Amino acid sequence: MVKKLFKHEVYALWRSMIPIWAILGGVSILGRFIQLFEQETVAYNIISGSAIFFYVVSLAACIVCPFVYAITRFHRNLFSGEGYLTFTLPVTAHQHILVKLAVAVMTQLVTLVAAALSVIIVTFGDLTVEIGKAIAYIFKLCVREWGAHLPLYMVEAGIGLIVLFAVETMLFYACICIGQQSKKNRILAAVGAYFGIYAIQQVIGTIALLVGAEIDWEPLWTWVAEHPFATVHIVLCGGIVLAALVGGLFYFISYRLISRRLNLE
Amino acid sequence: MSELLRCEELTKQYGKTTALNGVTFTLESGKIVGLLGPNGSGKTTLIKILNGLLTPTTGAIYIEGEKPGPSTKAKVAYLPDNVYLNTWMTVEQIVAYFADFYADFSMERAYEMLARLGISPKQKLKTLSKGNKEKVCLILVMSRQAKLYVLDEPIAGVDPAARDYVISTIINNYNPEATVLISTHLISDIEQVLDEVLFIRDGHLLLKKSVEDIRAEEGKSVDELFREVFRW
Repeated sequence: MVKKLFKHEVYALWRSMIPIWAILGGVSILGRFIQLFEQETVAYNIISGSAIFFYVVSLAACIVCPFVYAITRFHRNLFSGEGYLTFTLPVTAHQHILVKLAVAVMTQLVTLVAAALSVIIVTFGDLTVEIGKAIAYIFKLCVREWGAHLPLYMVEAGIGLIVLFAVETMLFYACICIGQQSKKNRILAAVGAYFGIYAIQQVIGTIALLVGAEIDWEPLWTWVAEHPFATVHIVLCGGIVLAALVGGLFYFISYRLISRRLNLE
Repeated sequence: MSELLRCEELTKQYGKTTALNGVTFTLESGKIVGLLGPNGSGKTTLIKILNGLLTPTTGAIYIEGEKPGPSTKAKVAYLPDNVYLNTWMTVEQIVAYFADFYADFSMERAYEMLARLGISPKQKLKTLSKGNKEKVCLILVMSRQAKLYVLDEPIAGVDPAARDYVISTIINNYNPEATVLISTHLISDIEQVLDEVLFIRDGHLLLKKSVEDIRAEEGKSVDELFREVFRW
């Protein structure tokens, strides 16, 4: 069932995303093509300026769209008329949420790759070589400084990015599920839930800062200075665990509300 | 005949409004049952709970001994009272979707019924008329070999010719070992196919009787009895 859900979810989400990726690709190629005719004329400046403008707009749309589409898809597929079909499939609430989350995160990652490719296309030529050289130089420096820790840092950062995407997406899923508990104005209630959760996060952060101010950090800073590599691992892994816990809480809220308090209009 | 559906003291409240109030009954396999009551009597609420789309406030409902969940959803074919299809899909995509998720779905039967109606599988659902969308929904549901068919107001808001189509589609395609639960307030159109009726009003179950018994004991048709019971 999960495979089937996954297949249909990818199709449903990517049918909206593929045109966006295609537009970004097209605008990037067009932008690079225009650069071939570089000249100091007003007409060229207008055309090239427009190309840059369209590129920036499509890049921004490309980055925002997967997130917006994933959230609207979650709402429409579960809580609008479509929910009558979705929730009568022989599938558990866990499977619904997990598949939607996995496809949303995967789409965001694919979009990151598409955005990186578009930058390569736009800067293709001498500039690409220069950027490549700069990246290679930075990488060499990192290898020299961090040695065997570098691959681990990269894995941890990669996992961190995926977890971050997942937590952000789960936050919105949880807000939508909370909003559905309202008798009317459910979308407005979801927005209210978002600000409510944001406020709670701020309060917790402030309390942590106040408590932190009372602690003597000197021994910790000494330890950090003596173990810089381990510190980075701890920060990265700790961040992942903390984010995963927060994401897990959002998941739990969404699951409970869907499985125990579903009230389709 | 074995027990298929059991409702135990089922109550559903929306705030201060009680949509269902302690409804208790059982249904056996192999029957066509009319869930009859005026608008707002609680029919749709009962059907939604049965399909796991609403959570009861108290009480429980069991399908072959199980509470609504993935395994009961594999046995229940549900036709809601609104068009619920993903309208961006084509007809063949929605057929494939049903075939993917329901092991008891027959693509062959679905295409046969679609062909009879002259609906092209390549057509987008959003380009279909409202009537044809409703017929596609019915075809999808009746192409399953389910144990329980739950049809919520399948003939409401359709012209008399379409009503005949809907009723004949149900009669000709349901699994004879299954039970069909049809919710409606248009009794006269459906009476001839019913084996049993449930009368529901203001969330209370008023009557559960076989059509035969109603005719023999009351000397009335179901439609006449309905009009008498639900007279304002």
